[in-house]
Amino acid sequence: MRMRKPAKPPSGFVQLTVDFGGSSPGGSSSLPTVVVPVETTFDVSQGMREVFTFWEEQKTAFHIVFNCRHLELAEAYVVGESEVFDSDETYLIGRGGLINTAVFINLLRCCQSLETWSRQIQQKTGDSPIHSIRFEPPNPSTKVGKLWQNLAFLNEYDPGNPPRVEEFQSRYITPILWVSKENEQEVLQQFIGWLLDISDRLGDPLKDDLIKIAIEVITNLVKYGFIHSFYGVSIWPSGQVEIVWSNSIAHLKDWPPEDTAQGIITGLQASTRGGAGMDYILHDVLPRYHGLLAVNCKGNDLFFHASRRYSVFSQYSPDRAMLLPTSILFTLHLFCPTTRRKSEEHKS
Amino acid sequence: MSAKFLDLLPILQEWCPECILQVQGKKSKIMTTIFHLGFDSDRDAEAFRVCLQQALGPQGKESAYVINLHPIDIISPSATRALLSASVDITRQRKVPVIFTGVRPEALDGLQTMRQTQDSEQMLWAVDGEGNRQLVGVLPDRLQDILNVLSERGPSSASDLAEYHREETTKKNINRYSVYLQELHNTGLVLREKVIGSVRIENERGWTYKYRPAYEALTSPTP
Repeated sequence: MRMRKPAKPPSGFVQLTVDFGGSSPGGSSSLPTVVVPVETTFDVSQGMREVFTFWEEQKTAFHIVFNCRHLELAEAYVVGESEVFDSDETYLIGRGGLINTAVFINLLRCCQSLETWSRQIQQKTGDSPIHSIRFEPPNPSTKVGKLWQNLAFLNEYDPGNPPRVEEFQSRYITPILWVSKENEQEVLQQFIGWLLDISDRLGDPLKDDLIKIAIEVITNLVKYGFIHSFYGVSIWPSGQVEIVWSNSIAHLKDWPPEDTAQGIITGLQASTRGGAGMDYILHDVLPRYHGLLAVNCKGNDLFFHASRRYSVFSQYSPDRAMLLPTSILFTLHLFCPTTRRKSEEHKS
Repeated sequence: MSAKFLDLLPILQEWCPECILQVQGKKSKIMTTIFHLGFDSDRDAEAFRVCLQQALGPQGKESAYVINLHPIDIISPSATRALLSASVDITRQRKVPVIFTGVRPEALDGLQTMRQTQDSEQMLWAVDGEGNRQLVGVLPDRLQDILNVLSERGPSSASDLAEYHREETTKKNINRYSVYLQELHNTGLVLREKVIGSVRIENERGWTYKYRPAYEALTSPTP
């Protein structure tokens, strides 16, 4: 395992304290800071490894900074780089290819997992190792900086003070919405209102399907994820739709039935409780939009296809359990030709 | 006998105000009404079934229950499942067809998809705002053929069907159509009325059933 020296925060960085519970009064600003570099391919384990390495060496409380200054768009995925679709949303290169918003949601999942770990340590020792988690955002004048802003990313991770849900800046992407029991209705109202406002861009019946998916998923997130849930949608001019959601599963005692890929498949497909959302996505939405549902959970990467097949990309390994996120991530990819056609008509 | 009509929206607003979401776009001012339910399908379906039973009241001599979904634009998948389950249960228990009216195309699509996941012989009619009717469920060909004849000819008995198909009106043929019509009646897609039997001497019972598609309850109270 690569060892990392304790790092200093970037210049110009102002440290604020977020109370993760158990911090001793005073002295917080003198704690060391672990700086975790975030790049395009950032995943949860990467951030956890950096932090655990520091903890193993130092055994002292610390702050974390996720340094996103060098984060770039996943340009390799972008189609037609020379064509800027919308001058207000410069990250929409071409007709909007895959920008891979997963890196942003993975950042939040990493924070969530570290928070869970910190609480566990606190329960054992009485002290919380993590005193604050902050983000060093990309340059706001860059494409990725604009994306950061429109995803409503704040400069700190504080579940007690999430971004406000009405901060919808874009006609193409929603902010990453922090969902809880308290704001469930508000999130749904804002999200559906946003869809109604951009309905000139959307093909039938995509708008209604996006509403149904949001209702089922957000209800699910609140029931199972409690306060630790995220939801976000991107509807690109290319007609590609990406819906990402994640909720903590650390508190679920009986789900998944097993940590293996098969256990997760069984848990998703054969649940005797719950709503009709997963059936609807797997049997109705995927075939209609030539879709793909990717699931990342406990180190398993699964794909549910429109043909009702599923495939397993990587599987759970007990050796890596410590570094695995404590949440489940769903990414639903859909393709709507009518939405693409509408964008082309609009452009011409 | 006549149909009993219910408007679903006010029933839902009284039963569970939070299950109705009315959203307006900030810029577009488009208003959308959504019926959604919580997460536990079994509990939702049971609670909604009780709500619907109460709204229908004690069973009288209704020929059909007509549930108007207008102005609901979108029904979430979990709410669709509960609505279908409750309606199918009512048809099964009361032996009275349930018909949805004011059904938007997207809601119809959801009803049909959800019906495919349910294991029940009961089916129902969904009628849109312009009076176009759709069957929610899939019938075997032999029953679909008979339903087509009933739609075309109007109220018909087993012997009428035998005649229509130019078959001899033997007891065997009539019994066969009687069985089919009974099967169709069990699905909840047709109404039946006991009428005085044909003048044929071999009809010893003196009465027979005439069947017609249940959606006719919307326009004509009796056959």
